[in-house]
Amino acid sequence: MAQYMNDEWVDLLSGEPDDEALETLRALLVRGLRYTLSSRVNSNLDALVEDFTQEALLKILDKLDSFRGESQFTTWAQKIAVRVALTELRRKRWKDTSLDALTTSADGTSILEPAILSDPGPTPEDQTSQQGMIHLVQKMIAEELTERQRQAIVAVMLQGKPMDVVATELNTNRNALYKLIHDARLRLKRKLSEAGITADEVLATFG
Amino acid sequence: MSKFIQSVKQLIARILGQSSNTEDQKVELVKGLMGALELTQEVELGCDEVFEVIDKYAEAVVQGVDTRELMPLVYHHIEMCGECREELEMLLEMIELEAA
Ligand SMILES: [Zn+2]
Repeated sequence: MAQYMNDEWVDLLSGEPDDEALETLRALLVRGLRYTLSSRVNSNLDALVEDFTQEALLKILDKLDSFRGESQFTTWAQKIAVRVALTELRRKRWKDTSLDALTTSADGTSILEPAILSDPGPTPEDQTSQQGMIHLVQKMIAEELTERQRQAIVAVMLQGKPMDVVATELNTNRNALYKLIHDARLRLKRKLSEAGITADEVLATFG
Repeated sequence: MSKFIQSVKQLIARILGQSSNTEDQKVELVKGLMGALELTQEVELGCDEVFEVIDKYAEAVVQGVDTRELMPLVYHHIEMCGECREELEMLLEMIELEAA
């Protein structure tokens, strides 16, 4: 099998791709995807490997200009294949296993309102008790976060939805969603410290 | 939406509502959230910035480099983000397969 240096890879794949180089790359991706996906999917392995390889190859050729040679070209190509495969797989898995489709109203809100978003009610007598801590956190979530931040945190951290799925639902992308949640975490952390308490101390009350 | 789907939804909501303890749910979220707050840093990379360098990062891991020391922001993101962590793991498996 042909082995190329980074510069050769880029030269051979630029413009009208060289057949042998393309075939070598294709074989590399098929091998890698087949090996790594065999433990991650239990049916349709061949078809999935084929689809993901095809999509990854197109992306790789399209993004060739952005390869800066900071890793082996093959590692760079593999990371694109990994991203393609896992993004797609997470969507498929969530669609196949979740009750989401049935528990989401036409307007996109869940008919299962998570308890943490319910009205926190009056402040408990003992504010350092578990009840007090839950009340404090509930109040902070209700008062400090934007609606979008609440939706993101509940979906990702409470419902365990993949970020790729939530990003699509919120009309954004995974990177922006991560930043949205990061901003929310920062805000809660600051508020907590203003209240003179650390996350560690809250955790301690739960034993 | 059809009446049928609507009633199925209501049924599911009722079943789930009965079987899930709302106090437990709250405790779980508060715990998860506090764990995440403990790890929260003022400056964190996003998934795109991590994707940019994850190939270089993975090769460093394979070479036994102390990535926590050398690329602390990437290291931290991998700790925080399950998606990027899963992608790194799969990439490492691919690299190791070719090296074998
Ligand atoms: Zn990430």
